[in-house]
Amino acid sequence: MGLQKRKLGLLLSTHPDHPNLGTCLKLSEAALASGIDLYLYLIDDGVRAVDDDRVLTLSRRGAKLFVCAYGCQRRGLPVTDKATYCGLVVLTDLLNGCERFVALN
Amino acid sequence: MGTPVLVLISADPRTSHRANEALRIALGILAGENEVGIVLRDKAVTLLEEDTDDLVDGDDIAKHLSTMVKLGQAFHVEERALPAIAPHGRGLILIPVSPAEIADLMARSDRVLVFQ
Repeated sequence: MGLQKRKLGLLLSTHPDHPNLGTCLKLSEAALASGIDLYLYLIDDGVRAVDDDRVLTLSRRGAKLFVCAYGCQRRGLPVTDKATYCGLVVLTDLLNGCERFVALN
Repeated sequence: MGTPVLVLISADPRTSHRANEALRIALGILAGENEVGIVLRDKAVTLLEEDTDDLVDGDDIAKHLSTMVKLGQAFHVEERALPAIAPHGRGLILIPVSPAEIADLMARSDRVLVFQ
């Protein structure tokens, strides 16, 4: 069975300085190039990656970008129109709804 | 039989906020009426100590644990780390597990979230 129209969920919880961001970007680019529906959820220190142009490029290419609203609030980060700000209900939906889910913690 | 979602925590709550964050995420998934397995290994077992004052975000940890007790959530605890703590005394369900049993829990879960 091909991967077209399948759903991949990615969770990123580490600071943008951590190598996980590079892994996240490469996985995401490969998924989008393969026509996979990509859902990227930024949480904990990972919420800071919403300001990274490479992450925003993923969103422009079709990735669904979610950011933990609680994590932003705790860090004093503003809510912008760059992503969908949400809570753990959405994360749970992604865990349940994606064929593959990779957590980069 | 494994659980749909397994949250494995080994981060040290005395030095990192990540242990509490992992506990918060586990609780959020649990609140969505999902079955969640929680495994604490290494220094993460100190999450279960009676006194959380010395832990990063200790007040939040106490609240999360209290909610989990009400929900009947069990904690799989690395057996070799268990004697090092004074377990939280308000009805926590603790299941000692060996490293091999932790590996088996991970293998039988649909999703695994690891917080180191």
